[in-house]
Amino acid sequence: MTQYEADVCIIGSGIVGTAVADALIKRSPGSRVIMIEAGKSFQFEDRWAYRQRSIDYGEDPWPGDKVDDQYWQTMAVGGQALHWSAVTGRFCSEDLRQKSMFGLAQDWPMTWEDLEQWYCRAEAFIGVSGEASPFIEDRRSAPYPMPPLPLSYNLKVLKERLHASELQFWSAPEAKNSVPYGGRAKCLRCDTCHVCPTGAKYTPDFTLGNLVRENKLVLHKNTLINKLVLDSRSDKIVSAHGRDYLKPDEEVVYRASTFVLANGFINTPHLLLLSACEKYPAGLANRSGQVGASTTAHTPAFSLIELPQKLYPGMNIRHGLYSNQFFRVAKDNPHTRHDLYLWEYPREDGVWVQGEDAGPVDVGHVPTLKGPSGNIRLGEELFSEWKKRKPVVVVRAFRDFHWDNAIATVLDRNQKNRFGDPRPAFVPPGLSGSARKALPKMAEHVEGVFQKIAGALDGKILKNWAPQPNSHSHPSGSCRMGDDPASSVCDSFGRTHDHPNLWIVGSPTLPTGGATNATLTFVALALRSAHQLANELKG
Amino acid sequence: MTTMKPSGRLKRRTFLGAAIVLLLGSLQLFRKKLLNVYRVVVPARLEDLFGEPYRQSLLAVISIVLPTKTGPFTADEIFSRFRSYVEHYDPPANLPSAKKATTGAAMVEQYAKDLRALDEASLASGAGRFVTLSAAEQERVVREFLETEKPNGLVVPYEPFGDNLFLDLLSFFALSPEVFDSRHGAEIGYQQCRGLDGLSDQPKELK
Repeated sequence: MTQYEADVCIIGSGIVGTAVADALIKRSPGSRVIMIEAGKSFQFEDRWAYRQRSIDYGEDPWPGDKVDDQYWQTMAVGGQALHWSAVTGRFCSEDLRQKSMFGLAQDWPMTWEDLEQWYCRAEAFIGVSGEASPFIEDRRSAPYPMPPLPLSYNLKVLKERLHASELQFWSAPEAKNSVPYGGRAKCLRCDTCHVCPTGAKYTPDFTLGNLVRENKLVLHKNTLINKLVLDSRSDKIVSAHGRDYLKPDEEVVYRASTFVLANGFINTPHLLLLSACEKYPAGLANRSGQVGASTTAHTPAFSLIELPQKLYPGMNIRHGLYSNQFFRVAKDNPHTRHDLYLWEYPREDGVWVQGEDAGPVDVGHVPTLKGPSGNIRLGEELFSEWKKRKPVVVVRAFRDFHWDNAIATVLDRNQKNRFGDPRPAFVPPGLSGSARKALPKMAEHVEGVFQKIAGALDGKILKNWAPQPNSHSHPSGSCRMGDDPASSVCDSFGRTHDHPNLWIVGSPTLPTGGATNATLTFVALALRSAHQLANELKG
Repeated sequence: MTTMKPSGRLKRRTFLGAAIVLLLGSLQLFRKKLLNVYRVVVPARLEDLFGEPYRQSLLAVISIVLPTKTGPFTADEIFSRFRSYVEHYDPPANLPSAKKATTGAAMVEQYAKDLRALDEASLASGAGRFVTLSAAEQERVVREFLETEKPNGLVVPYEPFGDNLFLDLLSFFALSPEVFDSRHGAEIGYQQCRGLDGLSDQPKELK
């Protein structure tokens, strides 16, 4: 058995754990902070090679970023944010008051004004380029840290057409450098943001690399924590136990005065459930029974619109136009809230959809060998025909969406990992009654908006995806925050109600999943937690 | 310490055991030999496919199937790129977008089969091998093959997966995994990092 001691032990090295580590180290210098990550790390220098393989073969740009006997999501230093699209929308005030305004789900135990100041800090921390729209949902107490990413000629033309029809879109806020920022370069438009070879897109490995180099942080990778051990008298966590994948026979024990769970919406409840003990047979931090429950998300809808205009495909497909014009429920409408993101169609033969229709969707852009008269077209003839294809844009809406409160993350007793522990299983719950009832009207509304967009661009809708009841994006929740220990796992700072030195940060704490990308919200909440924790560490 | 002599029955068991061990060992050795042969065969076949006489056939097919008269790539350049693609195809790697998987060896085998089919068709018509035909005759043979066989329903696959050489060449050239056909990508500099300057200006018309 190998033992380590620290003041703070952070489990998980994704964007949220990184934000907490960085903020703690800055606000409480001298604190011994150790971070534990189950997966491997990547070398920055290898990104070019990963990019090329990704372009040439469509390979995962982060090879080996998953641990094969764990949940399928990325487990590596940097976490899911290695891959992220870096779109950094904010939740609006309605997102935090769903219960009191619409009788849906739960209100957040904080005000939007409180959260807003942490949004500003989160944007400064990861570096966001953006421009605020005049909508009330875009009000902000500090400007974006960087000017917006410039629009491609294509997006500029489309934006003008949309504005003429009173559809308001702006350069999407993204954690990509429009100017040099945070020791990282300006975006070079490599157009492979899923693996940014220059580092212009924020990924946590930059921050972690700096902290480790400066000896401010100890980072242990390839180590899976599988149990938190409790002092039953004080209800405090005394140690985290795990295994090093490279030395699996040897137990590794981490002792600390504070433990921070930053391992996402699946692995956080999984660890709490695995840590069940005599005093807490249903798992740690689970007196409310809410660990693994109250999962939340938003549901996507897509439209592919073919355009008559002359556009120039491939200018900057990883950037788009963003709108929160429909972020607020209109007075005369049913509960329909969503963002909008419009971008140049990324592939000639289709976008990828999940679920039963998994795979690319052919919208008639694949070169067709068979000509109209049945002849075989080849060479110049085939490609001259193919070059006449019309440009296509994709519009995506993330819509408000509420599951019922059923348990979603459980221990799968039939599937065990190499250490004999039950693996996590995620079973999407059913839609809540009110959400199910609202679904048809929501779908109708969103399709109407897609039609308006197509009309403004003189385009033709090739395909709409009406979301199925259980299709979802960016799941979060599972250890929700709240003021009442009987119905929530932690307080608004992430401190668990049951264990005074155990904190949960980021995605698991969300009471509702919002109607836009949620990563910036995770980071904002994590910085807020870290601020509170640092104050307590300083005494 | 006392020792016991094995009984006759035990002796037989020991012999039987030894025989089984020997047999298994031989099988293991044979399997390893086979695998070694396989390892040698695979690159050799890759060499076969991209070496003579297939090389000339492949270049002819590239000129027929792909638009090599205009655009930035000659048949030789496409040949080199396609060879590199096949050579470095790594089926165990994560292929999140792959609808179906194949192996590099299976790809080579199928492509060789497709080229052999051109030779057979050419010989059956009384002419010489495919490479000896005129360009117009070669094109006729390829068209006839496609019209008769209708590989994959004449639908260009999402990525080259080793179903058919002609379709895979089109897929490789036209549906590169990122965005556009190789030609378009080369013309707009997609493979390079292009910077943000001038992004909002109207681009020049392509060829």
